Amino acid sequence: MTNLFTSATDAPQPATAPAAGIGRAVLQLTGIEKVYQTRTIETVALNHVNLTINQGEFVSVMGPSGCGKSTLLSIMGLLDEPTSGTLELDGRPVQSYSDKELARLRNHKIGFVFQSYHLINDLSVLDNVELPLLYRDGVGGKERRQRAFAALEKVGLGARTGHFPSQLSGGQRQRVAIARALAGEPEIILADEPTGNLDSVMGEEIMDLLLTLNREQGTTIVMVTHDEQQALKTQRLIRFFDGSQVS
Amino acid sequence: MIFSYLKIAWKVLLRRKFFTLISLVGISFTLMILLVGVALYDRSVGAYVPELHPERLLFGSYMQMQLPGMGEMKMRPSYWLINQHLRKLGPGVQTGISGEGQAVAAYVGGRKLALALKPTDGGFWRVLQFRFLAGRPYSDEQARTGEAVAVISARTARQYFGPGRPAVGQLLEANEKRYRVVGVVADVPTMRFHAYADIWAPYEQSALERQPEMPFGESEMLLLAPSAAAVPAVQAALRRAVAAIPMDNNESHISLTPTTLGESVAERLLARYNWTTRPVQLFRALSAGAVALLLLLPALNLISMNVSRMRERASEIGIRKAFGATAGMLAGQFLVETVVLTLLGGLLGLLLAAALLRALSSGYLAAYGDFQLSLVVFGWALVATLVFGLLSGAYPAWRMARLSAVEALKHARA
Ligand SMILES: Nc1ncnc2c1ncn2[C@@H]1O[C@H](COP(=O)(O)OP(=O)(O)OP(=O)(O)O)[C@@H](O)[C@H]1O
Ligand SMILES: [Mg+2]
Repeated sequence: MTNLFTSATDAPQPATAPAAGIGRAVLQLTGIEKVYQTRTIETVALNHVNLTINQGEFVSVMGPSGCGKSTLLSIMGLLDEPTSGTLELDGRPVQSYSDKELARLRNHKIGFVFQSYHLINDLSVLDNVELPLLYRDGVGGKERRQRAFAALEKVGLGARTGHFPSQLSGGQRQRVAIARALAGEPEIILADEPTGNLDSVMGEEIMDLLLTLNREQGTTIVMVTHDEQQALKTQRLIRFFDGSQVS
Repeated sequence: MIFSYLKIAWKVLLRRKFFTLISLVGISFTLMILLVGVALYDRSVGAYVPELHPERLLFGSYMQMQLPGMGEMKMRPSYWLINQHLRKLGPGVQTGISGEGQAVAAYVGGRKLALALKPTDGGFWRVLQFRFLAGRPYSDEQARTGEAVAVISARTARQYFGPGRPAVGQLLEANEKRYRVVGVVADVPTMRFHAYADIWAPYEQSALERQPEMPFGESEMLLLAPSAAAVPAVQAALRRAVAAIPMDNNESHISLTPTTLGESVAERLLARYNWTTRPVQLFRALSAGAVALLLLLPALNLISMNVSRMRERASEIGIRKAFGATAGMLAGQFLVETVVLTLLGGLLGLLLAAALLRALSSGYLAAYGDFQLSLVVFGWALVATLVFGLLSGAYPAWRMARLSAVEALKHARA
């Protein structure tokens, strides 16, 4: 598979919202490449991506289907390893972290919203949302439940805590996935099309929620979206095409 | 952390009711069958009253006899043969003779009692150690002269004379013959067929055995060696004594191979069906095969359930990793899950086995059973199940936990 574009340097977009305490780089990608090798074909999902995400930024990522947005997010979320290139988190290369430290970072620092939700079917909504707190030392069962419940209230699902994922609509599942990412109060939220399955009103509410988090808590957010309107509300828009950043 | 693992395990097991149910049924039934089998076996051949010293006991139940033109025959020895030729087998060896148990009827206030009567000589009471609750056995002299005396079981005493009533010295009428009761013994399970009866009475020869110098009949020889070490010497002495019996036809040949308690049980179970000329070996092979199969079944069940569940498992692993679980934490979770499932199944199996044995004890086959659950067997079976569970479920899950979150999620989709 050939690539039409080579990497571009990242050019900050004019911010539509005032930057609340934007500071040092939390995520720095240098020459990141991701190649999927299957028996018949080699797919270059990311081609030499250079990108910096600063603390407190709200960045949106757009691009056509299959251009590598989800791949980019899972590498930033420490869920997958790049084929080559370096990812620095808080100025330290990710390769230098041990497995345990990486797990701790995923737990404390990052909240991930999967494009396809990925809820655990055997657990109730509340148990699913408690997940990041379950692996955190010093958080007791009661506090876990309270915080998970608060996160569910924020996404408008306070009345669905005892349901199981299979008993929810697609939009409701998506909101559970968002609540789970919020529950651990991470510094960085990586959200892969968090409003893709929501109606415009609900999508609007979730967008406001993320904007508030960013503004008031200084949470760094990287969000993949297909919605130009939403993208315009964020401070910076990055466009991808065929594995490369084009703007 | 262990507490939250337990909680997770509990929730997962409750949620996957079908998987949990099948696994529990597999584990508990296997354990139950194993435990009941071992209890039955133990009750058949273990050291219990009246066969308190099974390692010193020998039974001469069958003779091989070769007659010209008739091939080999398997026959029981006669009272005369044992009494005349096989009594002197060396110092300290106790010998006894018993006959085939007979069904007799006794009547209490118009109600019929079906009882089993076993004819014995006096030596029978020295070879086997019955527990006498009252009175004593009849003497050699009483047995030889065929006095109308009897030893009866506690249950028979209760049923015939009434609970708490003295039986010794009273008369008991069975098949229109009146016996004076001289002793009452603790009940013997039916499975202990060398000893079992409701009434024991002095030997009366049957029509067949009353023919002069008749070598075969309906009797059985019981031997108690002075020590376990002396058993081979006693066996050899018995074989020599049998070989020395003069036969009126020179081409005839008889031999008698005494069996241990365990061998006689195997023979009893298998030989009557003529499947084999080596029942003891066949019995051992069958038992080993049955145990292996019993352990293999829940193992295969667990493995197949675990494999088919792996896809769902993979997605769970990927998600948990994404939110901060380490491979070690996931391993802990799978371990606890497997252990909880196995222990639940084990406990259930133990309860089922106890219930089944209790039910068996009141049935005919194993009446007066009073079975012992073997905790050693239970422990080993539980360990085996645990190992299979870990190998088939926890180990592959742990391997997957070491993949990246995205790779684990990919397995889930595949
Ligand atoms: N596990 C995989 N094996 C092989 N190829 C893969 C794998 N995952 C992704 N790809 C390929 O990598 C490319 C980028 O995929 P990615 O999921 O990142 O796209 P995307 O931009 O998120 O698309 P969408 O908007 O549809 O979600 C695609 O061509 C896809 O086919
Ligand atoms: Mg995607």
